[in-house]
Amino acid sequence: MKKSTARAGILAVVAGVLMAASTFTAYGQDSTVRVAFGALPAVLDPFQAATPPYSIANRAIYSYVTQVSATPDGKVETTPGIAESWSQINPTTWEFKLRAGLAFSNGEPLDAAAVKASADYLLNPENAKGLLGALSMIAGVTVVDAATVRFETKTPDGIFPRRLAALAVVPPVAFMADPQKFMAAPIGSGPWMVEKWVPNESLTLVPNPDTVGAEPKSDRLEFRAIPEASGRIAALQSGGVDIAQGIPSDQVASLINDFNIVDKVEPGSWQMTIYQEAGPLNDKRVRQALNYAVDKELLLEAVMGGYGAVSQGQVVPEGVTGYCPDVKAYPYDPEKAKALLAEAGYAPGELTFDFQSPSGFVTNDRALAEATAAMLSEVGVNTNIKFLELSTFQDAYRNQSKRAPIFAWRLTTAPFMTADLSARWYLSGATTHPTGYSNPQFDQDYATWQSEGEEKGLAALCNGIALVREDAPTLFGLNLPVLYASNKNVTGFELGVEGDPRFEAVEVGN
Amino acid sequence: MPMNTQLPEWLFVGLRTLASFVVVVWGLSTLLFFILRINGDPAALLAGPYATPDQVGLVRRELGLDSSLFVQYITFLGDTARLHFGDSYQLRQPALNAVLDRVPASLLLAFAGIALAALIAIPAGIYAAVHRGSKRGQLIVALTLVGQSVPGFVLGVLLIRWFSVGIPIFPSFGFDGPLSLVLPTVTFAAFLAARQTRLIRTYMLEELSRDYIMVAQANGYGPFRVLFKHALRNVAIPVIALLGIDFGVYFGGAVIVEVVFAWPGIGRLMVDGVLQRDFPLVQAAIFVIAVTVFIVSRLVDLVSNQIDPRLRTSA
Repeated sequence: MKKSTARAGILAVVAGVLMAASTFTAYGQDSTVRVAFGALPAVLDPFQAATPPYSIANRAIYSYVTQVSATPDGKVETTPGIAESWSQINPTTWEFKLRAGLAFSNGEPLDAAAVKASADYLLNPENAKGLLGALSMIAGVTVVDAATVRFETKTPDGIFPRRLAALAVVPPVAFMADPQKFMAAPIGSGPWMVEKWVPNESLTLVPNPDTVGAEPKSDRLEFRAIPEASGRIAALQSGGVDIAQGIPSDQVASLINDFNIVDKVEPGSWQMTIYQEAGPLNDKRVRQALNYAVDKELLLEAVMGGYGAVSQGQVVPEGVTGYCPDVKAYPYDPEKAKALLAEAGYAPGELTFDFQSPSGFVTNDRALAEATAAMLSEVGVNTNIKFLELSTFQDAYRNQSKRAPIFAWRLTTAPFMTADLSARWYLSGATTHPTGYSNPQFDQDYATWQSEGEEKGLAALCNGIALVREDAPTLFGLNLPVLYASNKNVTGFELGVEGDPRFEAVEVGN
Repeated sequence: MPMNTQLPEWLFVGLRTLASFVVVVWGLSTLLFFILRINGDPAALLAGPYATPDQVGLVRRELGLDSSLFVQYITFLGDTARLHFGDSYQLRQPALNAVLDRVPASLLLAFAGIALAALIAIPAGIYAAVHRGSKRGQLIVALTLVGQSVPGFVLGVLLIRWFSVGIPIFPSFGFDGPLSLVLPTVTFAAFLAARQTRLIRTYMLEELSRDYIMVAQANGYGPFRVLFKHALRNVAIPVIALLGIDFGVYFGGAVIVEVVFAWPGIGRLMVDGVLQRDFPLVQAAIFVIAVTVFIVSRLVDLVSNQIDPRLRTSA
């Protein structure tokens, strides 16, 4: 009797202490918004990349010359950032008027000189920055006056202002003193300021009262890296975080009743490069057969839980500039696939291809590849799947000699939201993802599109894109979803047009 | 050995130890240097999807990867000898610092896990040996089988389900304060404790059947004294040696626990480094792990020497 009372007492004390401690350590202050990401950037480098995980942290800290936003009718447009307006002086010169009276959080003026210094740093090849390739159309930057800056481009670029949505502006004095040191404790003019930064692990942000845009509604924003999806979901369910990124589509059903699911179709796609200059894949009929053999609708339903979209015979989804509404996906038609293979002279089971797929760094990459391989085998095409980790994959992406005949990969057009990046893969002599594919008519259509401007020249581009669909150097797949889940008491959480989260309006209620 | 007569013994042992350490680190580093470079391209990764081959080339030059493998290897050996590991490609900060930042979390988890395992295993193992054949003794053996066969990632996820989501007592991720240490430590210790229990039970059974135990019992010593003063002392030697090895394995190799609990340890840093072909980071991590394991194994030797007088004779 005595013994059990004592035991119960001890248990009660232990439980009490644990409860109290957990209240203080993990689930304390309400005005903090906690977000779990699969990965955080290794370095807060505004010039390294404009895609996640870099862009997620950079968008919070830095501000950009322009922004890309959605229009009410589902298209994209360029909207003011640091620049409030812009005009095209001649085909290769653009002038940007900056907002007056802007400053960085360390007091340095945010003016034309700061814009030029930032651009010059990025464009200097010696600095070997990852975003250089994305903005290498810039020939030079001139300061006209404190509030006016001019950009020269190497060739006419109809949507040049949108390119500057990737140009973060840094305070020149603090940055140039020691860029490496700067990135350990960066200063920007974005909505948030860095309070604490642990590379790859966590980022704590507080509102920047002098931000260029809207001031955040919450007192603190905390990003945490939780590599496992199950870990992010557990963190969400236990109240350790308020928002979680990268929710696997097969987990949505178990969360949808208790949490808000926030999703967006990524401005790019998962697809397979199947063009080869020699061998069976040099035959258009074989490439078309592969396209007919894959049931994209089924992939979308079964693997992606219905989130995302089927690529319509082109890489970009609806809404991205350069999307061609008249180009459609190859219908699922296994009989036609078999007939085309027979016509090309291949008996069922005769063709066997190596098939490389990303492993673990593209949404559901393994499941998509395995399901696709199974569908191909249904029409008598065998595959040997080889899963590549990130670095090997990058190597294969850039080197034809290291690439398998079927090469699955994912492309995003963020942050520019234009089909020019994906269209460029099909140009004769393309170098970033060389395939050997060439179609002079497409080259000409692409050039017309570029010179007429991306909106006006759309008809020319779409003519070319229809040719590419017919030639089928690509096995078109899916436009992948971006999936977040948030607690029901979270309000104001939104994804930008490119799929990156915005936290300025986020509030956590009780 | 003839050298023994010229050098003082402590110096000789010290130099020999140092030499073996240098050989181990050199061997490991060389192996890694070539394995990591078999495939993959860190420059392509850093240059981004828009980069032209020229721009990738620039990044490659910036990283010092444009010279021949032989030249790179010689440079690497020279740098390693001076403990210059260079900047991590991804983190853009000295690789050694990035690794050292992770040492506290890894050390803490390894020590806490091994300590918890020992706390469970020593009494459980002794009990199971003394009460061999009894129901409770068999139950302990059965539990060790469960402990050894449940994989860490399953146990970790279950613990999170029960004690973070179900009853929100412990944080499910990260390294913020003592409470966050609990679940990773338990996950980590479960397997170790199970194995140690079996080991201690086996050794204990062996010891208890020896003559000196009978003599001690015959002399009228109580069971407590016989067990702890005589038998456990002998059992402790192999157990401590194993704990030392476990430490080496789990200090840098607790990747699964680190991933499940988003624990900022060395293992995960190193795996990320390998995936991104961040050569300097991986080299620095291997070096730090080697040094730590080396120190711990020396400590284990020292402790074993203290316990076992037979080990004190020089080699």
